Amino acid sequence: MNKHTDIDDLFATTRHTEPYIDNAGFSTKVLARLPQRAELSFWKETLITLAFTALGCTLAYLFFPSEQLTLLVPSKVVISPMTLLTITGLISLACASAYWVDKTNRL
Amino acid sequence: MHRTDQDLIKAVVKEDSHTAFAELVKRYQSPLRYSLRQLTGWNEALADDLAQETFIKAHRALAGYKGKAKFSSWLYRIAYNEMVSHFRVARNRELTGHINDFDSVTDDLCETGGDASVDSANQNLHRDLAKAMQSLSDNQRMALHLHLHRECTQQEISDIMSIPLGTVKTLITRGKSRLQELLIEWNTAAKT
Repeated sequence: MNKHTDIDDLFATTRHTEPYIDNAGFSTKVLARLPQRAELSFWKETLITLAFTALGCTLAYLFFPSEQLTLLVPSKVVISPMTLLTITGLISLACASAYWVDKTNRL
Repeated sequence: MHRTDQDLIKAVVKEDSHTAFAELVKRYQSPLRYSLRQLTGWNEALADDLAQETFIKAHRALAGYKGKAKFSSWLYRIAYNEMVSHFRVARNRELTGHINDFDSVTDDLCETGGDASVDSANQNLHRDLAKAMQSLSDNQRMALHLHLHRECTQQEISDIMSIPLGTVKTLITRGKSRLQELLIEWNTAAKT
């Protein structure tokens, strides 16, 4: 600094040699402290969901071969007592397992 | 495509665009952090904290920015208030240890234009000036820095610091003569 004898001269030198201070994550830190963007209101969110659901349904109705699909659905189902018993047994077992898992906090 | 400050501000206010605000921060972070380093005796950590606070407050108040003053002036106004309020609290707590840490001064200085060959004489100059400025009052320091380094007009300084024009003139005159005295003292000491 001693080579400068005048304040204006000194400031002119610092002005011309002002260093660029690297961002180095500074702006990231600032952004992290900004308040989060306001969430959509309940009604807006509901409206958007419904609108896109309706759009999806319309597209599916227009392009999906629904007639061919209905042909695949069986018109008559024959079930024996033994099969019915097995199915109900399996359902009971699944329910009991779910109840046990819930009560013992296994998940 | 280059977006003007006004475009970015509009995007922040109307769309709450964080990307636009990030662009503003990137645009102004270096000069603001440099100024705050000059005003805090080159205390990098404190200067960066104050700069962060400044940007956060600017984001909060951006809707109220009418564009009458330059965005940089508006930002400096917030920074000045932050600095004054910090030093007031520090003085009240008698914790004014903001002049001490000069050892890490040169660590992350980069020359303008990204030249890797950093001129250490210039680095010392910036540090020494920041140190010398500590002998001035907060107001004198700010007025002198804005006037001589940022080349703001006295009216702009008056607006930034919310003080009358006459006071700005006095602050600059007294600050300059105080710094001039210091400079003469250093020159004399260097010669002997």
